[in-house]
Amino acid sequence: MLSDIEIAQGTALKPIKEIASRLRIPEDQLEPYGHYKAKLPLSLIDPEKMRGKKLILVSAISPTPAGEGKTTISIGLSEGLNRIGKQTTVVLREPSLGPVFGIKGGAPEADMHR
Amino acid sequence: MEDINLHFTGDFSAIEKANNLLAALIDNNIQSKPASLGIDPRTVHWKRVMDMNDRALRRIIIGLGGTASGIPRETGFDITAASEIMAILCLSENFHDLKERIGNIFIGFTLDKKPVFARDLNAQGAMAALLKDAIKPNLVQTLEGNPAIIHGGPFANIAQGTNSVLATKMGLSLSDYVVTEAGFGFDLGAEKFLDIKCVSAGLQPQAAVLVATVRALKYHGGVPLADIQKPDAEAVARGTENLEKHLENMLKFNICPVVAINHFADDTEEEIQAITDKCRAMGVKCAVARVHAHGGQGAEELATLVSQVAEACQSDMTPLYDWNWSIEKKIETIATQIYGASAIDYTQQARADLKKIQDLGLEHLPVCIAKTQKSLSDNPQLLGRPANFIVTVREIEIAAGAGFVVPITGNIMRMPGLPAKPAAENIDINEEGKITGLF
Repeated sequence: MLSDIEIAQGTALKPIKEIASRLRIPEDQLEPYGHYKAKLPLSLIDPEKMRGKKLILVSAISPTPAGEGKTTISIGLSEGLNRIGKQTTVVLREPSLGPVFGIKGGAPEADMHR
Repeated sequence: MEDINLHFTGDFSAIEKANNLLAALIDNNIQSKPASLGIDPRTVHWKRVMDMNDRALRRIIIGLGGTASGIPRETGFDITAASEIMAILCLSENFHDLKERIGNIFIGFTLDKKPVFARDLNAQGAMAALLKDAIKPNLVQTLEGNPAIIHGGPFANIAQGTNSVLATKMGLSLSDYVVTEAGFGFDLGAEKFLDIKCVSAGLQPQAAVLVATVRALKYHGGVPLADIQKPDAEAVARGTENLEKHLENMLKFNICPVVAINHFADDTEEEIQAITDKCRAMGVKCAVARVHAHGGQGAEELATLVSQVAEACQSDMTPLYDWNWSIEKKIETIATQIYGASAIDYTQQARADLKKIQDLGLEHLPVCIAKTQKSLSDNPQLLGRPANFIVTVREIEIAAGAGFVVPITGNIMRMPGLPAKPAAENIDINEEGKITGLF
């Protein structure tokens, strides 16, 4: 079985410009960090455009060592919504660096992204 | 993946720098005669931070080396995610708001008992300047090439536990649906998401997904971890009392719930049935998601259900409490309504902290209760749905910059350590720059 990093490294990434153009972000407003990451200027936030949009909160039962998988479901749900034709962005926390060198699950994992 | 897990776009480094600039300004003021505010070093709670699990830095003495090197005092390091700057960045709406929140950081008292805030050190401008790029949300992609915004990572016990307000608003400005996550269980991360983040930012969720697994419910039903893969539908049914309490809590906020069963290969039909029966009895819709096995395709049924619920949801989210209530009433409301506590106990320290909050005029702030995530109660041993327990508030911290107070009900780890066999030993890079050993 492949590990998460092997799956991620084996997936062809699209240039971040392509992802941004799907969100109709003008190219001159995108602030790329390398080929696959970008910063988004705050001027793209528009209360007018937020109207009528759907915010879906993912939470869980009380966590156990057996695992629940909130991040897995959040990402999977966003992929599923895109598949059924709902234009969706998943919005998550950034992982902490410290726990990366310790044990799995020490921080919010971004296990399906690069 | 390695790009996100290692350094990413440098946001954590910027937060660390802003946090540590304030620490340097505080110690400089304690040292400086002409500009002295008369800060009592024994009352300073502001710590330095570092993004590394390093338990040796938890408690340290600084300022050693004689008169030119500062006033010796005890302090320590927290991990960057625990910094109040992280919580501030994630609640800020713009630079003006960011600077105001930073200026409001409560540092301690002067020797004649006057409160000192970051604004008294004129720290807010330079600290906000260090966060110039960190405040901007980061765009990346999922495995299936869909957009993902990743921004900010505060703790879900001592802070609000969700990505930045700006990232959520960015997502809502750019796409029709935003899926977001709140840390730990519904009682911790989601309660704070709804009562603190949504109220602060004027956000409204149209659906809330509660994730459960067969194995986790078996654990709540009393099965030890070693036996978690053995089929036991009765244990799952017993464990659904934990799910039931979280669902009842969701309904208290008047939000539209959906249960997602995160499917594992060893789950049996009978076990899944035990969960769907409970959901049906409560009138809550439920779907099985096979994301591990089938990625986004395995979540299509859940996605269809969530979109139906979100589009039909007519109710407006109602926060559990009014920020203007007294701190004690706010704590009591969360502990009795959400945790299921029968009563609240305050230590002498907590009573003194309540008085301090009152004296500082901060009673209007929301409460961000730090509690174990393992139980609905404040005792990590009590699984399932505990009843007849008392929540003990040991102390109440002030995060005036972030804009909340933090009642502490247990031991909170702000600087984790590494295990005996750290994962770092397996991480490597080859001549082509390819990294291995990250999970």
